[in-house]
Amino acid sequence: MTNCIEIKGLVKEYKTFTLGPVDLQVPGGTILGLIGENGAGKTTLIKSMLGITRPTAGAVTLLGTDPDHAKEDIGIVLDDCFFSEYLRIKDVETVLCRVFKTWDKGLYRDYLDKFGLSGTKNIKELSRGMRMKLSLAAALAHRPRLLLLDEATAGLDPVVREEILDEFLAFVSDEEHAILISSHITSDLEKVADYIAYLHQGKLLLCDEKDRLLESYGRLVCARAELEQVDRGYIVSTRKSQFSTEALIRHRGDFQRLYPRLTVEPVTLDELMVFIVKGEQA
Amino acid sequence: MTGLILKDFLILRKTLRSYLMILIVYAGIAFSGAWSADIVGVLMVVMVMMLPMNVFAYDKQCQWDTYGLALPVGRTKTVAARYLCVLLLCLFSVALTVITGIGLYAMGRLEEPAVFMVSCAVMGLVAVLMNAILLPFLYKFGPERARMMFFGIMGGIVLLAVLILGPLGGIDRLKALELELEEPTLAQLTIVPVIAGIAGLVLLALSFLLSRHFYGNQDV
Repeated sequence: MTNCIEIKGLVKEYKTFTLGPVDLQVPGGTILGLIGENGAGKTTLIKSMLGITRPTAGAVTLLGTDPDHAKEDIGIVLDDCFFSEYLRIKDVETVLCRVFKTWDKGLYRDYLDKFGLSGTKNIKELSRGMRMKLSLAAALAHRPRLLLLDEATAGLDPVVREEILDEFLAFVSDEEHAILISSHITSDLEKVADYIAYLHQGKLLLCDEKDRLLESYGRLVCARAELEQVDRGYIVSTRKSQFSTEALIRHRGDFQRLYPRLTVEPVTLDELMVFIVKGEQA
Repeated sequence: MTGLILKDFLILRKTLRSYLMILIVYAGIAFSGAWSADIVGVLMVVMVMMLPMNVFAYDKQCQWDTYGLALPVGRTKTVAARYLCVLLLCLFSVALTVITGIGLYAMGRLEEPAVFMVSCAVMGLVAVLMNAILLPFLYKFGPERARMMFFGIMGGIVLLAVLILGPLGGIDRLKALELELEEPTLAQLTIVPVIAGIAGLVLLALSFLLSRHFYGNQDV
């Protein structure tokens, strides 16, 4: 299995914000979910990967080559539709079939049919969900091998999200395809992602297989006195209130064997983010 | 690159249609004899100056800048596509003005067709010149700020012209000078569009280099 994305020491410096250094690999046939709070650097990372913003340092290899040469095989969806409201759906094809050598008119029309989009409609008339579907159809119609999606499911209703997530899963059924998707909707990522990368204030705090992350971390709810008896090496961070004490625990299996009387619950990606950002670091 | 040029024209479709209607109205006014036929050429310059501003504004509105850089086109070709679009708009406008002139001449409403053709060439050159100045500003500062800066510069040029021409006797003095000039020959008139065309292309090429420099170093 070859890596579709390889990032080594990527740094992007702004006056008030620095992304990185970021090291990241995404193997073929997988989906990497990029999570992080607003302003954590997710969009900057995607833009830097594509050379839309020029990285200060580091190297990016996409599909085994430099980003400029890989663009023919990359589909991109941003958090909003990037086609002007003054265009019609069929105009998107008129433009992009001359940009991508591999543009497949039949496939584009198939996606339009599948998503219930009529070519004669003006983009101005489309709802947000429809616009995102159009962006996705345009991203997929040139048969890319890599999809870069920035908040592509934001603001969509659950039914549309489910449809789009199914498309993503179908896309990565090919071992040579991969997806990087940044999203605040961690439940979507829990459904489809194979890997999770967590960006916080420009730094990559976590990057691991999703299942391993969710299995190895746990949420301990106990009395304050009980927490004080626990080996600090297991505790990532804690959240204390007047009524309860919670802790994010690493090596959940080992912990439970060591402390069978304490209850450790599985943790969600949301909880993981909140513990790391809001909790007191151990 | 053709895809990007087409995109600009598709976005401008409605605006171009409106401009065509305005042109027809102005041609009608010229036909009625209320205004000189030269007004069509002036209108053309104003229109061609506004169109690239609109395209930049529309692109910014829908984040096309970001998406455009993710396409397998490259920054140089992206800028080149915009310049070709502007050049096509200028040529298209000149052609429309010439057609209007031919129409007016056929209906006996244009007395000096050769002078009108020269005026078309000069107007075309002015349209190219305006865009050659405006486009690097648009690439460097974006549509909102560039618009204000451009109008500021144009206002400055007009003010400068008034300050210089004022002590010399103003427009009346220029008109008097014009009267003293000999009637140009047909050969002299024919060469004006050629010189205007070459000068326009050189200006646009220089402007392109500047815009490519700005866009090439830009973080979108």
